[in-house]
Amino acid sequence: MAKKGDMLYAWTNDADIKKNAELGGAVTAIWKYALDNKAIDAVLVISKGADLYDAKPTLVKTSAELTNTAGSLHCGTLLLPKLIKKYFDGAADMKIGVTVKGCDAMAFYELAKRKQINLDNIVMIGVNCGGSVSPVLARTMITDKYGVDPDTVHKEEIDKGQFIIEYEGGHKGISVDELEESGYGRRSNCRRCKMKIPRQADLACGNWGVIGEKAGKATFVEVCSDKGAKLVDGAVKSGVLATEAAVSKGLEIRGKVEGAMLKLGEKWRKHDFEALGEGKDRLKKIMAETSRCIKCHSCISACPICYCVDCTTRNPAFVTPGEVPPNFMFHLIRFAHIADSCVNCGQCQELCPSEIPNALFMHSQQVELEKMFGHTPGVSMELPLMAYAEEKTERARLHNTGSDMIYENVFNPVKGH
Amino acid sequence: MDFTYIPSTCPYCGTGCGINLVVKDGLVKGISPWQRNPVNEGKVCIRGNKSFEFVNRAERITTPLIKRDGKFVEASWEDAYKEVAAKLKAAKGDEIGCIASARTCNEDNYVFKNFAANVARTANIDYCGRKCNADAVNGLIEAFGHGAMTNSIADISRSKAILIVGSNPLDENPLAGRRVIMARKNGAQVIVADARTSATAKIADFHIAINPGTEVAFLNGIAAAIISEGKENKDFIAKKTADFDMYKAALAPCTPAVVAKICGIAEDAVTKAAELFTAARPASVITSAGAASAGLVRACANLALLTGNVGVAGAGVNLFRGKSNAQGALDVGCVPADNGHSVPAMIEASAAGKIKALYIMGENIASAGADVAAALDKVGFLVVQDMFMTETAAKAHIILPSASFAERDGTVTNSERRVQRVRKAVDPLGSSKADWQIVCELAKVMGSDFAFKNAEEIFNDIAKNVPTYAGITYARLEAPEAVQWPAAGGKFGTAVLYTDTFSTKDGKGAFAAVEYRAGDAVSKEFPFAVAAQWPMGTLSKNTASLVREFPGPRIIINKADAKTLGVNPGTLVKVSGKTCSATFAADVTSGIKAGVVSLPFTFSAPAVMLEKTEDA
Repeated sequence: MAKKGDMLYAWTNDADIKKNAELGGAVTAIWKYALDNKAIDAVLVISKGADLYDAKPTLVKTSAELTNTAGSLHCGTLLLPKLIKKYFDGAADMKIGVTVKGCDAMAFYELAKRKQINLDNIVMIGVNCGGSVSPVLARTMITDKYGVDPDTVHKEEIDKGQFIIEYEGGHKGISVDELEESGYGRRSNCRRCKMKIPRQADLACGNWGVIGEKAGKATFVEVCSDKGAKLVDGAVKSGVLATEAAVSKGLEIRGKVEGAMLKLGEKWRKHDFEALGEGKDRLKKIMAETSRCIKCHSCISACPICYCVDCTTRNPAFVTPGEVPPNFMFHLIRFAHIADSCVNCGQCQELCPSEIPNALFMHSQQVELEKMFGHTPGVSMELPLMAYAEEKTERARLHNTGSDMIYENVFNPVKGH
Repeated sequence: MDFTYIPSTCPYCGTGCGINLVVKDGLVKGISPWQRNPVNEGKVCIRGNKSFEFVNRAERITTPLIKRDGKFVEASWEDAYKEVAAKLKAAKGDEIGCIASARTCNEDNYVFKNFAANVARTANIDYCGRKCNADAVNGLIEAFGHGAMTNSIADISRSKAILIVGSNPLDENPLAGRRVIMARKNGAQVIVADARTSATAKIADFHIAINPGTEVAFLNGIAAAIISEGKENKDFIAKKTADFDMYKAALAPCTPAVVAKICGIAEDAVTKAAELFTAARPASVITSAGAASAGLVRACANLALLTGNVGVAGAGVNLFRGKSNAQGALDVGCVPADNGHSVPAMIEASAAGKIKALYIMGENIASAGADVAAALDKVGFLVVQDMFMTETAAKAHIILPSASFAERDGTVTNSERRVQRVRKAVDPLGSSKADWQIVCELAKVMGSDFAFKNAEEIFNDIAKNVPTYAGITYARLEAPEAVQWPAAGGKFGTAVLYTDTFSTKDGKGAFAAVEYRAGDAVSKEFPFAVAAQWPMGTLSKNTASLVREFPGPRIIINKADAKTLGVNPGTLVKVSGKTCSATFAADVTSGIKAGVVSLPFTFSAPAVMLEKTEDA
């Protein structure tokens, strides 16, 4: 019997899944079991749209359709939980399985604590994620840096610090560091990400730590919840999945890979946040960049923290309708409402038509707020800061800083933390 | 439950952004980013973000309507077709007018053009782009050979100097405007000439508030300054162009002093703009449909030729289009045949009672002013094909309800010549039909079987008959890059035109002397010059989120002028030009030059007088 905390190697016994799936097909096999046994009504996964670079959310209702969706897409820069809130009534009446990256898992938690998603109806299988690459940039990168026609590439992966492509002419890998130094590579929020193994999911899966003869033929599965344990047990019992305990050397290697990724994330945070400066300098930078805003509302539509029926940025008392660029209040409203809970999913930046590094600005504030108040978004059901704010106490605290410049205070990192 | 993404093209401006329509249980529920589309990489403006709202709007017309005793009555398609056929047959060819659309698909416009020629047998076919597009495009055809943007939207981000005149892309074509932002991040110098401190002017390195309507003088001044500094590209001019000497001679009077006076700017602004534009290569010129005339576009083309900025990525003359298919409607030939009337001529003929039957597809020309609306009242029989009860549709005798972009297949061609797919995501609302289908069915009732079973068959016919579309098929358009015409340029067509030679008869880029004409300048009676702003159209007005953001047409007026007139924000101001008059609420701002007001370009007067009527 599997239980929370188990570390397993898992692979499928299903011949069909084996043919198409990567790493032993454990994730696909578990979804097959869950669908066939009505543990869930459907699975929301990413599948290929027009081509390898086009990530498309797909609702799979029968296990027969699953084989078309197997495999990872590093150009999948989408965030699924907001779709579930918007188009699936927050899973109010439907049990949905979702394959998630770290940012998806965090977004699920944040939407759930705001009562926008019913997590009881969500089953999450997390997959390790080293970061994703925007599709058009990926194609330019493959043309310019690899000298390969992106339409001839049939597979891409990130392994051992390299972005590797398989194409008609063979395969080629270039280190992610080198790519990122020349302006390509992962999205900037992914570089700063420290949620590489999404343990908030029911199962956290990946290939880190799969070694020896199992390498490439099995998936590493960390059982993160009772729900996850039940899924594994059921799948094994039904015969679609086989497991064995992970070897200690494998655990060690997995830990090392994760550690290295976290270190890299920390390096990028330092790099990005230091470039923003501190206090007034940081505020000035943010004001200069956001002054290009054309108020498309995409940052709001995509944000997993935003859920208001009517956004305050549309209140004419704060933001004049039709005025482009909007005054800075537009951005202040977003910072005030979101910064304590930002999970650095990067949507607001990736979708910004004015090339404003929105995610960097929001994430930089979240990190400072976390230092001040100790609240970490996206990892538990703990309510966000705003839910606890005692207005009188808070006003007094700000008054005692000797300045009424609230944002200056926020942008000044707390010393000694 | 069914849940799918259907990739399509945004129905608003001529940038042609890719979007995903989110379909749940047979209804369009939203749009989602399509990161894979090369035009906009998943990003959209506010219009694109809300572009699904009008699809399901209760106000959609869902059945044919026939006016009886001044009231619309629901009718069957059969009865509607019969009546339209009878009325069209009763009129002679030159008494019939056909107005095509800049916001319907290529397939619709193509069959509509064939309908005009072979069924209605009239030479009077044109599209609404006439007023703001077709003339401008002629300037490009004469200078370079093709009537379209020389370059690609994406390659603007590679420009090192950008001159924007008669355009506010951050507002009007936002995802093309994004490329200006990217260019600036890559070190480009951005020069904006606009009487308004527009969103684009605000990101410029150098904003010059020229008087509206003086763009040609300004461009000529820059060209003259470049020549007087000897900075013209002599090699390029010698090898690739014609008529330079004539052009140069015509520029002689355009000294900085003369130009500065006309444009209402400092003399050194002209020389500084010339300096910035020639300081780095590639340099590009951006203008847009709203303001552009043949003269303005030609003056832009002259400047590009003069500096050798044609035929390379990041250079060129980039004419942005207002509506999603302004380019395509022209490409497939919705222009007057020999001796046929253009749209303005059709309106004039209508006013004179010479047009007995007018067939308008997907355009709201009545919104272009009281004179146009009055002319429509004089038309004996007006048939309008549209989704909504527009001012034009309200005047119709018969309305044929058309399907929205989400309910039919087709193609649209954006400003950069990219032919992209529109895909059927859901069934048409009510009994509405795709525009091409309505036209084909009407033709059949009138005795001509076009024999097209679907949009793809029409497109194949377009590819056979329109040379620039040769080699394009729906299969090739499946790639998110689709194809930029001419298709022969590569896997995805041609990103940059004229890399080798020009497509003019002699293969050379043609200079032309473009004289600045003062037009109806301001006078004592009409003391305010007018800078045009883009109005809200049929789609926006039927999108609640946009109506909330842009509550109605406004007059934008300078703070000092407002003070003099006693006008406050929101004050209703009566605006009168030589031939028209209307009342607008005031937006008071320091973001427009004193002596200039901004009005929707449907209010056509170059100079106006203002009277305060009441405070809001």
